[in-house]
Amino acid sequence: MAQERLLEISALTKSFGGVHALNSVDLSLASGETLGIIGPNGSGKTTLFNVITGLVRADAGTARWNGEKADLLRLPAWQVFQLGLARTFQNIRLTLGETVLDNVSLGRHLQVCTPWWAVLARPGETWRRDRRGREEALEALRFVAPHLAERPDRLVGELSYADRRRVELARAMAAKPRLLLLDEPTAGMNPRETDEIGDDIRKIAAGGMAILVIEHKMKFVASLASRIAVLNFGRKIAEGSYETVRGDPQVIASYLGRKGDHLNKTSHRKEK
Amino acid sequence: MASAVSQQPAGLWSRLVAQAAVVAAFPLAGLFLLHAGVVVTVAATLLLVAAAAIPGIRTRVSATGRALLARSSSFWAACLLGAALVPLVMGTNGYWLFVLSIAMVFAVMAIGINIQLGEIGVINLGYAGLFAIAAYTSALLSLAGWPVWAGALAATFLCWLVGALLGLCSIRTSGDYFALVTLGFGLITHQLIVNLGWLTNGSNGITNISPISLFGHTTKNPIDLPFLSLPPEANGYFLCLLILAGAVLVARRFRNAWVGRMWATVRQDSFGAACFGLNVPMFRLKTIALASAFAGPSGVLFAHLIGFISPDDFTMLQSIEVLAMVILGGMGNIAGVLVGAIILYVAPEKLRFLGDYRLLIYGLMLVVILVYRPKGIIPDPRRIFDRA
Repeated sequence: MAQERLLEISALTKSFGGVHALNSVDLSLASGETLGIIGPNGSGKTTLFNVITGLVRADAGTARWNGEKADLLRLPAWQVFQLGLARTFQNIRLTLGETVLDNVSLGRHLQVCTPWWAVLARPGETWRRDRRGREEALEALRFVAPHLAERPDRLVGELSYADRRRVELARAMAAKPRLLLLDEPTAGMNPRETDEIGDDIRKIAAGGMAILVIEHKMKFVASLASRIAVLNFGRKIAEGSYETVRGDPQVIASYLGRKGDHLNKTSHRKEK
Repeated sequence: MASAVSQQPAGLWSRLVAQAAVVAAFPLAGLFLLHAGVVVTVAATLLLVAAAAIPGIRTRVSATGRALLARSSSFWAACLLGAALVPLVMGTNGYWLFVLSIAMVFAVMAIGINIQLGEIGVINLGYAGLFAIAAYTSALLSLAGWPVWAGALAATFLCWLVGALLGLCSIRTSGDYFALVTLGFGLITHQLIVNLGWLTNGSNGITNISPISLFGHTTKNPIDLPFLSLPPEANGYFLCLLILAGAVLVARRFRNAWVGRMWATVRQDSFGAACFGLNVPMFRLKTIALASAFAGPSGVLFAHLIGFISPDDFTMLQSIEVLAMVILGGMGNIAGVLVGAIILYVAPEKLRFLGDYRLLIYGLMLVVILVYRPKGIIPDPRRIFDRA
């Protein structure tokens, strides 16, 4: 443990009725590290994110943040965000009828928001803060998607699927978090768009931000993360470098499949 | 042509002409109310239906409307000016001024309900209860000798407080449960007013509520200036206009600030808002309380302008009517909500010549409008990606 632990999750458990979505999962992450999380559909990856970010209450387990005493799992989502965790969603969650910049500005909410009485009584101050928040949001947008930053007043509902994902990424980046949680950032993207997002994420990681990324595309994860954790039926079945994980018999059986097993097509698709 | 209007910034002259048209529209509408007989009313109604039904006209009208709303501050100023001119064309006839005053009272309420229904998407079926609390508080305090402005402040604060309590009751539940909580609240308030006879005089109501006065000039006195004389109802009209303008100002200020953006976010996706640092339950609570406070001034005006209130004025039907104003006018759009409130309150009065068929035609009008404009007469531009 040479590096400082940013996030230390232990014995995390969550059940929905009889389904063990997460079963005693341990994970830890150093600041500035990128950790990939893979696993078949329904293996608990998104639940893991929802529990960490406070959207879903964990049944048991603890999550220590940055050496602080507070347990992340006991905090509501808005307080988790205040600690410096920002996320994107697998099923994109944006306000479609609002502009790109309005959506990205949500990431600067804590800096922009003023008390309600001030909205009424001090519109100038409220407006100035809003203005500053927008400039910072625009910066984040330029970083992630320069072509969107050229027309920040477009409505999100008019954008392509890939661009909407970029807006989500920019929104999370605008918050300048210490840990970025990306839930399938390339879902529904073609190979070229996938590569572009990969470049963006590497650029972000190079800036020193810690990243947790859920992905299905193995090669893609391998190109981002030095370490990969594999979930299956809510349990962590393997963890380590791409090569270690790829060779793990349990991972092959549950996720990757063997050449010649089933149809070759299946394994090819997942290898992509 | 239609797209040119909406996309190119119009020149100074055409902007001035458009603003002048907005200003002029109000006195013209006043003249219509005052003088239009059966034939003109029917013809105007048919013309409006045609405008809504024929696609070419519809797009052109809505493009012009969008262009006007794009410079919204000057648009609202033009509306205020135009509305202030209405009493000048009414002569000595106070009837329509009074109808319009009460319509504006309902418009203030509709702005409040719109913040709940249009902005964060919760249905309030008990807004008439808040309206009643404001009206009775103000009436009773003025009978006890308080000045009206002090009673109005107390009533507004009480509405804000009760709204916060309502929000608190439903903080752990989602949108639909708020409808049930408020339904119960509305019914309880009505029953309390009927049964607490010692305080509210029960179903007989409170009579002889004092008119609003300023430096000895009350809302019962005609306005007599050297160059201008107006009927007594003009006082109430200007007062309501002032309060309505204030309500629009407050609502717009919140809507155009971070609060308004957050309203849109919370309505569509409260999880997303929570993940970016918003305490969603607290935000909902504050929003519901703010929206409830709009019942305050409207209840006060209602009590003191009419001079008589009884439990019949505050039934659930009243709540639903204000909801209808918001939905018909255009949820989430302040201009739309105002249009909806004025039309829904004034139209039944203008349709009196139909006798018993009045309400039938009124209902038919609602259906036709919602068939052609499912998102309201002036829809909220932020909702173009919503399913109708």
